Amino acid sequence: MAQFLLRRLLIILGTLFVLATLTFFLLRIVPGGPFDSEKALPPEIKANVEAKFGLDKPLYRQYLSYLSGMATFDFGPSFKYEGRDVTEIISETLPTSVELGVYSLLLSVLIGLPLGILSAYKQNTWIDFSAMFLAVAGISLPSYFVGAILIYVFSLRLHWLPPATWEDWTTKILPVITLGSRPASLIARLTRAALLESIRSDYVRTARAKGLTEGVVVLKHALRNSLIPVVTLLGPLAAFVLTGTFVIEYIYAIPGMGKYFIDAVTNRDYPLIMGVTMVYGFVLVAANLVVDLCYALIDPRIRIS
Amino acid sequence: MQGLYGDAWKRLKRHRLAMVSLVFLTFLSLVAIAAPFVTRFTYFDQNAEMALQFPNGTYWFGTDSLGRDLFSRIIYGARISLSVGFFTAIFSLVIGTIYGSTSGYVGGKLDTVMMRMADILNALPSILVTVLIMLVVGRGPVGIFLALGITGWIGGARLVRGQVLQAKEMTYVEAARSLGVRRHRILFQHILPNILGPVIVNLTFDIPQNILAESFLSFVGLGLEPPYASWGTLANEGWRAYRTYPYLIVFPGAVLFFTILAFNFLGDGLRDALDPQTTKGGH
Repeated sequence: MAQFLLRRLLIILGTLFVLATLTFFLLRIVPGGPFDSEKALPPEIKANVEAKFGLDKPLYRQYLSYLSGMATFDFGPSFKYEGRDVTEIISETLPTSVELGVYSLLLSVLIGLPLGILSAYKQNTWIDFSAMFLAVAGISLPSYFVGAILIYVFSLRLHWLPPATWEDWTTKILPVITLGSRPASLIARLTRAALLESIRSDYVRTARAKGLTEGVVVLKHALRNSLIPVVTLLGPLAAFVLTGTFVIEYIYAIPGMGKYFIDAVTNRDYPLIMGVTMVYGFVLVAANLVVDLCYALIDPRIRIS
Repeated sequence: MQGLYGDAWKRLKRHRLAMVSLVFLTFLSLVAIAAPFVTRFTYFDQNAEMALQFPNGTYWFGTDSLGRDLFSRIIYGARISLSVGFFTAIFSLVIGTIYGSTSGYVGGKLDTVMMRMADILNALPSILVTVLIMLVVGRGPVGIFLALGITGWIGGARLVRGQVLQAKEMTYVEAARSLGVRRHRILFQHILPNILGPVIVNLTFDIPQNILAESFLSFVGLGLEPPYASWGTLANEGWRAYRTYPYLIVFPGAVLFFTILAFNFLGDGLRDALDPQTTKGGH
């Protein structure tokens, strides 16, 4: 166990290091700097500005100070938001994005899992067919289209829910549904497939032969084994939901980290881009680690090695 | 056609939704290729007097705020969206197949190292890396094609590696080896043709993923730049005015939806046809 954790930790550090290096050098070879947009600055002022942000130092010095800053979660000052540190911006906006992501993931499990179970339980009935049709549609709908329809119907026509922002719970319903619909569909499809497979296996036949009721057989015996592939999916889904937040935040004008990422890329705000990218990367590798640990909890046969 | 692929074709033909999807996608591609002959307007001609016309007999899908015909823009947009999806998927497939089959076939230390590297790359937030790469290579079709391709090949590589590892233990490979067939010939002429099924299925699911990824990026304004117009850029333009002119987002969104839906149905059908053992629905 300790060895497993240690090795995973090394991979996580390696991943973050690759991400940091990649981001740093990609941004340095982007044609055009952050301060020669809009109107040209006089050369003296430009030199001053660049000195202020350490852009006049040799590249390897910039890289080293960037890495050492990152180790202490200090990404330096933002280029565009004057007087604000990247770390400050991230700590203000990250909770919103995480809240949005976690709610959406929860919603997708709460909808996807029962839908998949029901579908498998009623295999080849109209319930199964319509549930699976709905699931394919859910996978195929681009989230901005879902968002546009939801806002149009529930905000502009019916006036039931506000069309934007992220304040009380009424503002959160539409964004969470918009982001959660695709993961919910994926979970439903996978749950159905996995459950159908385990329903046909020997130990389920044994459970039936013992005279257990069909509900107990499916929910207690078959389901537990079918959860493994579903848990496997949660890692990529966490990634999807996390990076999906920036489209949703754009649609609903939610002041989360994704919205700042879009602005940062448009403004060439390098420290902010790097900070946000690193935070996303960190959350992703952490999510994958949690998923790996969950396998062992669900299935004792999988030894952590 | 006979043998494995003949049987697969027969099974696919019984899959009604998959066949409808195949016809739809073929039709859409033909329309996109023949765009100048199908549309009455170009995708860039502006006409201020005809701005924001609701759909009518002349402008089937209405016009945008600059008076451009939305129907023509969607047909021309299909060229960009479909080719980004298709070429990116092919590009990642080629890289993934080379990487995965090398790793799986050579095995040993090299396999471990290559898969660790893939693990690390796979853990990167791919949409963000795509955005960064596009900043460097530019925001045209080639830029987005490279950026999505560079981040998109790892799934394919893992799939091919797994298949090659399995195939290595099969009797037909053992037979070839005992006949003295050279190593690279075994890989290229015996193993790869045999694992083509899952690879094609994977390709069918990769194309819509790439189309969606491109449309998301363009929708939030980080994707293609004018004059290029994909379905995502059209949705981005439509988004600004859709509260009064809903058709501006309904048409690009619906066309995208039906295309992705068709690819998914076709992929499901192909998987059932080519790869009967794989679990259904578990993509």
